[in-house]
Amino acid sequence: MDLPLSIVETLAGTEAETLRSRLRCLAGLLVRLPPIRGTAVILFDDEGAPLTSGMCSLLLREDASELEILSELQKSIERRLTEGAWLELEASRICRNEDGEIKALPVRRGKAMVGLVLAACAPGAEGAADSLQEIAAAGPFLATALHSCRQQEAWTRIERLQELARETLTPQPWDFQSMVAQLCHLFEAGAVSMLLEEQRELRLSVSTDPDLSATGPVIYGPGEGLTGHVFQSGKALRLSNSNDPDEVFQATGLHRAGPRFSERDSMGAPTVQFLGVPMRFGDKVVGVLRMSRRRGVAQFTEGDQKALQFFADVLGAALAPARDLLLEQRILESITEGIAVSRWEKDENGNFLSRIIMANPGAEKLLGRSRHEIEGLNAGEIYAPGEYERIRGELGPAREAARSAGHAEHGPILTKLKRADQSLVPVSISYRLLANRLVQPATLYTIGLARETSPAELQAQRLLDLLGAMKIAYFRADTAGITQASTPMDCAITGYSAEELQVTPRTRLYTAPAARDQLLSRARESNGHLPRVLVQMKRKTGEVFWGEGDLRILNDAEGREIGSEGLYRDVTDRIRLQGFVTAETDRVLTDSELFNKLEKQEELQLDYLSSLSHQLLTPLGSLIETLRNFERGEISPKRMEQRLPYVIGQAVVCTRLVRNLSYMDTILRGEPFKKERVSLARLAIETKLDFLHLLDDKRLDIRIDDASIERHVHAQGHQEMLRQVVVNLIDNAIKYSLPSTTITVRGRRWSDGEALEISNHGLPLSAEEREGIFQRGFRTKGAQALVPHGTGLGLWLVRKIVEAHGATIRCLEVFEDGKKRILFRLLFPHPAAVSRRSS
Amino acid sequence: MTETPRVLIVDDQIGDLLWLIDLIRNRGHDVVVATNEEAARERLRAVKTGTESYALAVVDVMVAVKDLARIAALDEQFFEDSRNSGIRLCQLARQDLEISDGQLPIACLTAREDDEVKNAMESLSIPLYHRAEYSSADSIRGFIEKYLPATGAGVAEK
Repeated sequence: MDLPLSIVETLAGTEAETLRSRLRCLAGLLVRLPPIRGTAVILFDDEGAPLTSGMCSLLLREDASELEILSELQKSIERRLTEGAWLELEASRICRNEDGEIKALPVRRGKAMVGLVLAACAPGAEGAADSLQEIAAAGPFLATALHSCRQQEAWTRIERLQELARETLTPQPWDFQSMVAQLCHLFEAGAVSMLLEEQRELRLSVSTDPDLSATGPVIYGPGEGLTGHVFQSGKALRLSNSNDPDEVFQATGLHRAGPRFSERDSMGAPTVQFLGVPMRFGDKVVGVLRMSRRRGVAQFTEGDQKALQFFADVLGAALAPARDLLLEQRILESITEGIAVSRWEKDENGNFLSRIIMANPGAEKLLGRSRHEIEGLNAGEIYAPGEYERIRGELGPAREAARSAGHAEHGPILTKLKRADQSLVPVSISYRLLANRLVQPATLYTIGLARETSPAELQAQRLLDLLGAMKIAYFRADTAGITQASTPMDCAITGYSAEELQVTPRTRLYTAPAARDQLLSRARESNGHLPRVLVQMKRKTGEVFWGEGDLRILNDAEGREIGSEGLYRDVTDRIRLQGFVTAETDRVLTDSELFNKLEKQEELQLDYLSSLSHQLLTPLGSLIETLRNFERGEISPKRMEQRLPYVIGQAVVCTRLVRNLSYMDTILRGEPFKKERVSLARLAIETKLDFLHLLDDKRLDIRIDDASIERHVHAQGHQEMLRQVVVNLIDNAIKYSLPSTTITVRGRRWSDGEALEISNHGLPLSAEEREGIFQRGFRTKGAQALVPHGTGLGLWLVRKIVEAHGATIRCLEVFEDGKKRILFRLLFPHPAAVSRRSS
Repeated sequence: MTETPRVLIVDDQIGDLLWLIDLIRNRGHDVVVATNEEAARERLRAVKTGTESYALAVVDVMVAVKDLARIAALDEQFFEDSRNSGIRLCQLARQDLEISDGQLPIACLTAREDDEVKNAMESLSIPLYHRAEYSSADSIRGFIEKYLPATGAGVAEK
């Protein structure tokens, strides 16, 4: 066998993956030389310490660890290197399956010993000397082979580390937990941890030891402990026993009593061997990667250190830009904008506050303070009173977004900052919120980029203030109707907070879901601008209100629609007032229109009061004088008896007038009332009885078709209010009927509802008069000529009561028996139609 | 047989008419009622020509302009307002027809409190009485009792 050639072929041909298995292949080759019956190939590291071994037919002692046995062997060999090629050793000191002697061949590369070969043969076996001679002659080839094994091992690990870096950094978010677990396996370490720089200190990012951060945040300042030393020096540190003060002092110059945070391996044993490497990017140290092993296992080698440093630098290169994105020093050097960075921290009382940790020259200029004075302040201290609380509230959603997505933007917000001299400076601030989720617990930064507001912006702000003072709200929304910006008045009117408005589609602010889209369509059709539109809206509480305003479509430079903006105010009171003055239009009246209406209203009120007093005094006067006639003996008891129905009739007239007043009050106030089943037939009959004296006087007849009313009309409502409706309609019919005619009252069923119809033959009404007859204060010329005491309120009140019941009333002209009759149709919609309408 | 003296009442309020008729008849007078301005004008013209005579006239300041049937039949777009129909009647009697107070004493009845009606009646020297006065002496009853003293005889109740 050509041993040198076989060595080369064996190493080149082997598919063995681990160092130990490659060494085992070499040992297997040597054992084929007779009469050798057992071999071992031992590899030393680049510092000459035993690293590992491969054996063939030899079994190591079991009373000590492999490394202890090999270290002992190495020490005994080093003392006898001058004795020749093969050295004789006592086999039992190494093996458990050999006794007698065992031969050992140091393998050198240059002056350095790179390994050992052990060979066992039977004592005095033939050919043993030849075989041992052949192995010794192949010494340079063995040295090259061992060196190559070590190199190959290093390369294999580098390749694996490259792969690990790719596996770690490719997916988002980065999986550092899996990374440290794999590093631990690859380096046969007890524990691996990564710590990252943040604000000039190191914070734990991940560790294989789950208990490491159990007692609190793991933080190292520069130079604090071995990890802090690596961070500060930017150099790797390797210690065989970190609990040995002398070794620690020699390596670091530190007097160290013990570990700041005790790290343990997966078996729970404290790890004392230490290897820490800086994660570098250029001259920056981004973090520290460290590993540790328990006592009694192989020490970290220079190869380990180089491999880990390689990996740490790959990580550093990846993390440095992320760190720079967080706090870009160049941005902080900007002087055109005031920039302050604050970090959310817990104060001594456990409350969160936003502490300013960095400020730039621009911020110094804006705040009139030095950077040194600004840094360390609570962010609330640099704002005008009340502003920080407002902005902190507004930033809420952005903070949450940053916590889940890593970053968020908000603003710009117009606000005021407080200078050192307590003067206020108006600024526009854009906020960038960043969460560093690589450290435990994640930290949140707020970067404020403040610009002194321009005269135009100030003017805009003043305008907005003015609008606010005038109770006018402004909003800007995107195409989905989400509010992008709005004034505090928008919140005041709608009842939503600014945060809620930013997630609530503005369609919800309208009583009709399609109302906003319809308005936008109308605006598009009107060159993108819809002025003075009146619409029914809804507050957060569900309360309905009337909004009046301008709506404008927003387009970008290329004409694409990007949203809408509008100004509006709450005109509910005004609309109520318009309702009061009977001006229910689809717009808000101008002041002068409203003034005229109110003036007219006041005249009407006075007219009403005067005619009411007239109407009350007339029957009361009759009552008094009739009773006086009786008292003074002007009439006999018999005549008095005849007069009694009239006396009662006059009293009823007074009651009716006062009731009108009372229901008018209820209806005008819009007060709710209880509804019940009401028999309109009964009300009509009772009313007829009240009016008997008047009917006799004019020789009138009232014909009530109570059967048709009972059959067709199933009214639900307030009995006394509906009685007033019937009373006013019949009273009206009596006043304007020709003598010796008939008033008819009947029920009808129409396709759109159930109707009570009251008709009479008398004073004719034009179409225009029939239309206007239900307006307040409206009196036809004929009525004015005939009935001087009318108020023009009776039919208006009828309509108001009817509408409050969800019904309608119309005045029609019909022909019956060739005669024109005036017919009042009180229509209650069918229940299905009511529910459809209300839905 | 001597004709029963008569009193003219211009009023369309059934309540007014009943008690006035009762009172006047009890004092031995008959009653002629005009329920609108148009009818009352006819009576006043008859007084002027001497074809009719009345012991006195009671006029409601606000009475219908015409009879309902006439209003309905005429179907006019414009009627005079009935608000001052009584004032117009008094002016007709005193100014146009020059019927003196001696020839026909007139008293007016109203529920109005405004100056327009007060001034008009003052200028015509026609007493104005309010409805529902607290004291009967202040009411139109006092005026009637003055001109129609109680006879105790009365008119047969009809």
